[in-house]
Formats: sequence, structure tokens, C-alpha cells
Amino acid sequence: MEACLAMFPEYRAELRPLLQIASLLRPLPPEIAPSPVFKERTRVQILERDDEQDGSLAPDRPSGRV
Amino acid sequence: MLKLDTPPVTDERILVQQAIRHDSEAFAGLYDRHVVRVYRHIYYMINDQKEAEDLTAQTFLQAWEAIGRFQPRGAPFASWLLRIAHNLAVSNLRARKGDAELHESLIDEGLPRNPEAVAERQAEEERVRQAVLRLGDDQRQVIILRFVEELDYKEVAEILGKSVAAVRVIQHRALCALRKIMKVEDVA
Repeated sequence: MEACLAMFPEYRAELRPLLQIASLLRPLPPEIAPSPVFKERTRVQILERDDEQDGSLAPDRPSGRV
Repeated sequence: MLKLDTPPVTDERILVQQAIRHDSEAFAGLYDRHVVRVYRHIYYMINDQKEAEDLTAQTFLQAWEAIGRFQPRGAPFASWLLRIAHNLAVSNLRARKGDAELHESLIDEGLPRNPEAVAERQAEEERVRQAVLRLGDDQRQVIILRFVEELDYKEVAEILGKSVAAVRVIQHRALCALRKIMKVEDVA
């Protein structure tokens, strides 16, 4: 933060509180991700939902399944 | 840092057009591209793995049902999805009122070991997180993509269909808004 403030001394007073806020915004760890089982199950749900819908909604729908 | 691939804009537009015509394979392609980002966005808001998965599924199922109403010339598909995700997450938060428990996995190994300092830091981070949830769509999306997902300005601009300059302005305004929200809370 100090290095950044040193680059813009004329804006120091304005920047400091914003940088303090930004420093509290923590990145999510990379391991936070949906499980492969969930991803596949939801994908299937989406495709099954499509099958449940009226076929007239899907004039251009390809015949193949994913 | 987690870098999620941002799909080429042209391919995405084609998939969206096909999905609007109810091509399930195209929508599945959009799902594959965005499911991780949507999940992480929701997870950031609610801090619960199981509920984040449920709400991610709901986001895509709602989007699939509503895809015919999506306007390709309006906000980009990712932005539209994130808005659906946000609305679902807010409903979830309202339903479980005040349960603001911090997820242990968010505790940074590099933080001070002093329990009081850790608790104080966590409380501050939680306050900011709650304040982020009160921002408008554009500001909230920019803040989460920039600071939580650690994307650079160009990547955020592509996802949200805005110029880099616009993203910079939105970020500045969002940080000012967060400061204002937190100041008001301090006074209250």
C-alpha cells in the first residue's frame, strides 16, 4: 500500500482509505470450486429439463444429446 | 490465484444465439464455460459449499428457462448470469437472516497468529463483504471479478462488455461507495 501511495503522493489522502478497503477484499482460494460430481449432475439436469419442455419450443434443436 | 479461461467473445455469441433457439448443446457449452465463475461468485456471497452448489444449479436452470428473453445486444451473457446468481444468493441470505458465519477455509495462513488480531481482521473482511453485497450490479460485479477473482482490467472489461476505462471508473466509484457504506455503519 505504501509503495502505491508513494507513486501518487498528490492523491495520497484520497487513495489511502480506498486502498485500505481494497486490502480487505480477499481473493477466494483456488480450491473453492464446484465438485466434478455436482458439475456433471447439473449438466445432466439441464439437458433433462430440455427434454421435459414442449418440443414446439425447439424448432432448431439438434437431435443429438450431449 | 485462480485464473479462469475467458471464452473468445465470438464463440460465446454464437453459442448464445444457438441457445436462444433452444439448442441444449449450445447452452451446455455456456454452462461448461461459466459454471465455475458463477459458483465462486455465489460462494463469495454465502460462504457455504452445499448451498453454493444448489444456487449455482438454480442459476443455470433459471437461465435455461429464461434464455428466450435474453437480449444479445444488451449486457453480455456472463453479466446476465451473474445477476441471476446474485438475486438467488440474496434471497438465500434473506431466508437465513444474519447467519454470517465465516468459512474457515477463508482464513489466510499469512495472517497474524494472534487470535484477537485474526478475529478483528475477519470481522473487517466480513463487513466489507456485506458492504459489497449492497452495491449495484455493475459495481458489485467489477469488485468481485477484480479483487475476489483477481482478474485484470482487460479481462473484466471483456466479461462485462465494457471498456477498460469504464471498468476503472466503476471500480473507483465502487471503492468509494464501500467506504461510504462502512462509514455509515460506523456512525450507526
